[in-house]
Amino acid sequence: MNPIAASSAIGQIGQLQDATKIGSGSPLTTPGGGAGKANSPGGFADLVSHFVEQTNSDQVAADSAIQDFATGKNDNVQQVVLAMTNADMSFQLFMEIRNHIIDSYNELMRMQF
Amino acid sequence: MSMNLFSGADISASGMSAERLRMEVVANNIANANSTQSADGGPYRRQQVVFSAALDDARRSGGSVSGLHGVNVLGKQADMSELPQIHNPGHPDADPETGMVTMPNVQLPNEMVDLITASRSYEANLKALTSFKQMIEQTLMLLRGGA
Amino acid sequence: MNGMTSQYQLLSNAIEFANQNHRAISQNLANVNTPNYEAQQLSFEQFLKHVETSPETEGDLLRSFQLENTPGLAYRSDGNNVDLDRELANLKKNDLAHQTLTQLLGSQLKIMKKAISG
Repeated sequence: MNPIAASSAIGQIGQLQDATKIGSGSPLTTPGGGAGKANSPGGFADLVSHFVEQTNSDQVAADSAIQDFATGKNDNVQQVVLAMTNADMSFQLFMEIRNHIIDSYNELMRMQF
Repeated sequence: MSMNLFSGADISASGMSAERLRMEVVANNIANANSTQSADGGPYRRQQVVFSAALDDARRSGGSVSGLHGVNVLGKQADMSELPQIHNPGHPDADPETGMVTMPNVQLPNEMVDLITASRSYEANLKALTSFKQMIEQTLMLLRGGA
Repeated sequence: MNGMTSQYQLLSNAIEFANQNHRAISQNLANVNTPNYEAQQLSFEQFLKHVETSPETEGDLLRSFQLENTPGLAYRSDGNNVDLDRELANLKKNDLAHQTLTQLLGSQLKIMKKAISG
């Protein structure tokens, strides 16, 4: 997968994360709908950041597996392929969720009060 | 450039070349079963190959079970068992007094058995190599989105 | 959460086992005529134990693949106890296992892809 696209997508999510942090106390972002809490521990922002880390670490693992294979350090094809499919799947999931998040955000912004 | 890839195939490859060498040695024995003269004087002596299991190479690590590197051919050695003597006064190499000829210590049935064994072993190693190739191909199919 | 089904880890561990098992079988086949060579096999019990106790840790996986001497084989006159037919049968079985596991993994991936992209 394209590393440039990966890092830009992760960057976009990061921006969204910051945007959602502003309203982390609002009913829309806190699970359970509690209003007025300043720092909600299980908030949406935390969920997203955990997911970003997971996806990123999968990418890094796949990259290092490929590097080890290409330099001959580890010639185990199965490990490389499995690391790559792992990274591929988690990245695909990530992209879908990103698209949905962005769509929802745009929808929200379009709302007029 | 020689990359140290697919070392799993090296194990089978070492087995194949070891067995092939063995077959060559056996073929040479059979061809010289009746050679009463050889390069170092005297009758031909039966040759045999010496194998040993290849020991763990400290260099190699990576994600594989260590200590598996196939078979090493240490070399050929002459079979030092006693050379049989046959009574054949008409032979050019016969001893003028006793009429005995010293023949090579090659027993054809033994050599044939060795040949068949080596041939079967070679095929078995070839099968292992083919399996390895198929396993790699199947794994790579995962990347293409198929299975 | 990374989009993987629960069998993904198990399947990839099993595929790795098939891979290493192939190496052990190849080693036996290469040394079928080596004097005083003892046939080796990978311990499937160790692997099952690993699956039950620590399925997520990558580092322990290799350690669970211990080579052990194959029990119950007869020795020939040169001290070798590799049974060629037995090893060939194991080779075929391992092949089949690897093929099956890889295809199962592939179909799991397809399902996940469908689930993700809707």
